[in-house]
Order: sequence, then C-alpha cells, then structure tokens
Amino acid sequence: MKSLPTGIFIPGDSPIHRLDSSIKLLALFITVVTIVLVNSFLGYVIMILFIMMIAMLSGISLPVALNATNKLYWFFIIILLMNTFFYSPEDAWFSFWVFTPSMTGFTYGLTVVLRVFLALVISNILTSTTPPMEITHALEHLISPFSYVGIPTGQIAMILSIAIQFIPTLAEETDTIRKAQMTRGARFDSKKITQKAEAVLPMVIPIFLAAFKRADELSVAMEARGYRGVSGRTKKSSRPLLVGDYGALLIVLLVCLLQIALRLINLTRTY
Amino acid sequence: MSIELSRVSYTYSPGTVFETVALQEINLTIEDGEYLGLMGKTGCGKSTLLQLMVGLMQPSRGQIFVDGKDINGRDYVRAELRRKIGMVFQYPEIQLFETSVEKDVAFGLKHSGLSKAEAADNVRWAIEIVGLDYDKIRSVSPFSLSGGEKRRVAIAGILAAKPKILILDEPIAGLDPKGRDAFLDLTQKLNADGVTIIMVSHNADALSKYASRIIILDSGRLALDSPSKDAFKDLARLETLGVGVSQAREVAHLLSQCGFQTPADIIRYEELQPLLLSIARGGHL
Ligand SMILES: Nc1ncnc2c1ncn2[C@@H]1O[C@H](COP(=O)(O)OP(=O)(O)O)[C@@H](O)[C@H]1O
Ligand SMILES: [Mg+2]
Repeated sequence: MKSLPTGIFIPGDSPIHRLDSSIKLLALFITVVTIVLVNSFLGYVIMILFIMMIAMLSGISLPVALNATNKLYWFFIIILLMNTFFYSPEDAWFSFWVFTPSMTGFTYGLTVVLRVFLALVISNILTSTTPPMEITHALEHLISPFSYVGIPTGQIAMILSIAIQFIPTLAEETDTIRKAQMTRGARFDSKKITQKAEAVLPMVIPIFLAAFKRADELSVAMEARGYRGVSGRTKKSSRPLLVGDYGALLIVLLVCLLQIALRLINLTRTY
Repeated sequence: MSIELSRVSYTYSPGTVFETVALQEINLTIEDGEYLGLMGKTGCGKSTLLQLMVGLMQPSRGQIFVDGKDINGRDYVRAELRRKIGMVFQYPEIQLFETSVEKDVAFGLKHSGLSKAEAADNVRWAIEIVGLDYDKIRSVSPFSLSGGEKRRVAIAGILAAKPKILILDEPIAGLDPKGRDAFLDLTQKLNADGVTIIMVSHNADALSKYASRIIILDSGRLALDSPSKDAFKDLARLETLGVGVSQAREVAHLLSQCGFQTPADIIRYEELQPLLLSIARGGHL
C-alpha cells in the first residue's frame, strides 16, 4: 500500500479537527454552494486561498488533501476538451467538421474543472478531519427537521452509520479473500482480459456471502438487545457549541456573502 | 525446496501517519521437510512474514529466496511460486465459491498445466486426505456443509495443487478438539511425505508435539529460533515474549520446583509420562 485511501480519517488535534462536526458539515455545504456561485477571477482567487487556508489549519499534508482528485485527471482533461471544442460555436476560432474550438469554451471548461476540483478537495478535508461516526451524527442532526414531515431520519442515520462502520471490516475481508484466491492460483494480476474476468466470481461470491453473514449476525444481535427502530439515538460524547464553532460558521458565511456580492457586481460576466 | 530470508523488513503505509513497522531485519533459512512453528504476541508480525514468503507482498527491504531464486526478482515467474507453496489462511472456508465441492477443490488446478485425468486424481486425493468421502460429497454444494466440513473442503482446495511447502496462519483456531487433532495429524502425515510445514499457532501443546523447530517473533524482530525441545526452556523469557508453554512442560517445571530432578527439555506428554510414573512409584528423587 503506497498511498492512503482517499478521504480516510486521519486523527489529529488541529482547529479543524476540534470543530463541532455538525458545524463542519453545514460549513461544507455552504462552501460547496459558494463554489458554484463564483463567477469572477477574483472570486476564484479568494476561494482557492480560503480552501488553502483551511487545508493548512487542518494539518493535512497537501498531497493527502489533493489525493481526492488523483484519479480524476482524465475526467478533467475530457471536460476541458469537450467544452473547448463544443461549448461556444458563435465565437469559434475556426470550425472543422463538428469541432468549434473557442476561448469562451476553454475558460468555461476551466471553471467547471476548477469548481469540481475545489469541491472535492474541501470535502476530502472534511472526511480526513472527522471520524466517520461523527459525520453520521452530524448528518442526523442536520436532517432531523425532516422528521416532522414523516421522514424516518433516525433510521436513515442508523443505516448510514452501520454501513460506514462495516467498510473497514469488509475491506479487510476482501483483502483476505483476494490473497487466499491468489495463492490458489487465481490470476488477478494478469493483464489478459479473459483471465481478469475469470477471477471475478471467486472474489464476488465470497464477499457477498461474508457481507450477508455479517448483516444477518448484526440484525440478530440488535434485535436481541431490544432495538426496535425508535429514534433518539444518543451520542457517545457531545459537547456544547463553543465560540470557535460559531466563529468558523461566521467566517464561512462571510465568504459566501462576499462571493454573492462579487457575483452581483459581476452579473454581466457569465463564467 | 528451501526458503531463505535475508535481512527482510516490512513497513505498512510508509510515509503516512499510519506507518507501522511490522518486520525488521529478519534472517531465516527454512530447509526442506522442516515442520516449523511460528509463535509470538498478536501483532508481532507473524502474518506479515507468511505473506511475504508466499509473495503476496514485497519486502520493504531485503530479499526472499525460494530454491535459491529471488521471488521478487524481475524475471521470476510467479506461477512457479504458486505451484510450490500453498497457504491456508485463518478461517479458510471464506474462500469457497463454487457450486460443487469437486469444482471448488479443482479451482486451483485450472492453470496448473495438469491433464484432466491428473487433475481429477489430485482432487480425489485431496478430498480423501482431509477425511471426507469423495463419492458422497463431490457434487454437494460447499455451502450446505457444516462448518468443520467447509474448512476441510477449503483445505483440500489448497492441497489439490500438491504444494511442496504448506504455510498455515492460525489454522486450528476455532476447531473443536477432535477436529483439531485430525487436522494436526494431517499436517504430520504431509510432513512425513516430504512437505515443508510452516505453521503459526498460539497452541504450545500442538507445536510442542508436532513442530521440530520453533521461531518466536517479538515486535517484528526474530527473538528466538531453536529446535523445539530447547525452545521452551527459559520460562521467564517466554513469559515476556507472550508465548505459553505446553502442559507437559508446565508440569515438569512444577515438579522441578518441588525438588524432583526433571530435565528442562520435556515438552511432550510422552516424555513426561515415564517420569510421572517413576515418581508415583516413589523411585525418583
Ligand atoms: N493491512 C495492514 N495495514 C497496516 N498495518 C497492518 C496491516 N496488517 C498488519 N498491520 C500491522 O502490522 C503489525 C504486524 O501485524 P501482523 O503481521 O498481522 O501480526 P500477527 O499476525 O503476528 O498478529 C501489527 O502492528 C499490525 O497492526
Ligand atoms: Mg496474524
């Protein structure tokens, strides 16, 4: 294993780690909306600086913060090319067959790529600084108003947290199964596509069986302990919101308002 | 058929906050036909060592030679290693996936280059040697079997390739005493037929009885490597290494504390029994 899996929680004690998880999730939501609102050069510069500042505060190293986008470079390049060649036929440099490359298209593609990139990086910072269980608690907290219109938010959060809890176990089991089948002669590392396809069943069937078995055991255990799906799950630890939490939320809101203001000034520009 | 490790180290997730040094500077030679017991506290690096030997992972530093060839060398053929070494993981029954016992056991022979008839012979041999009735069980779904039978089928699926080296990672955990003894007898039988056995276990009784050599790891380092009759002499040291001793060794130790003359290399019941008898008859002091 050379690099860490994307978005894995990295324990730490930075100001970002210490923030209340509900505030963090809300802040992430606002930040992503803000990223979509940005439509000026200055706006992007501010956004990049803002996210860089958060990354630095979180103590997450730059390569780790950026590894959310590691496997997406091809996706980015394709978006950029598609936009450059198809987006704006009106002011194309020239036209050849269906291709109408234009500067407008190129800049538009660039902004799309930049927005996706920034949203991924900031989400990655959230998941890297917040234990998965905290995230589900935060989610439960944030969607709890919907319970008044009959949506079982408690159960949704429970399902999510169970699913998240099982990821490490299943990952470990998958690894063991892969190794066991490999020593039996399965050819996962083969380059031939037929041999790759052949190696699918020996992996998939044991993984599914293991997952079903775990789910079955868990449901029996939950029932035996009296779980009846009633909402009102208690948190393991909860602390009251601190000045820092409100401060963080305020900063994010200010950045958002600033971007809205910039957008209003800049209405005529459309990228 | 020897395995040689030369200054092997392994680190998980190097350069990250999750960096774990699992093995450090391991030097080890395992000869043909040995029955080797590998012991040590949980997390001392036993599983990592086994997985390096079967080429599932590559050492961070150092080299591993099987039959004199570097298994991580650029022109080494992995298929050769797979043919030579079989590995039984803890709870091997997790690897079952085929629709019938026969097919599952034959899975590992697909790329072995054996003819159909040879492969069928191997499958029958493997199913029978783990103590199952070939004709009765061959077309049964492996998922309809009991836990103990599933494990036997899974092990048959590894033996079918007739590996010359069998590596086992805590294979007897969770077996009942009868199943455990049957399984250990099987490893002994294979060993007598020339198969090298390398087995991780916390069961000192089992290893004292079957293994000819004991290796103990401590925090990723080789802490002890000796013939099994000498391995369990220093009880205080074994205590700090987190390794238990066999009941026979324990009784012999108690006897020596009570003033009876007992050799420190008694580790098996058969060796203890004459001594106990002579003490009981009052002839020994
Ligand atoms: N996949 C892995 N990723 C990171 N660390 C691991 C992994 N597997 C094992 N380790 C660590 O390496 C060390 C040795 O583990 P292992 O070889 O499984 O020990 P043992 O089999 O003796 O219990 C332990 O500290 C363990 O936490
Ligand atoms: Mg282990």
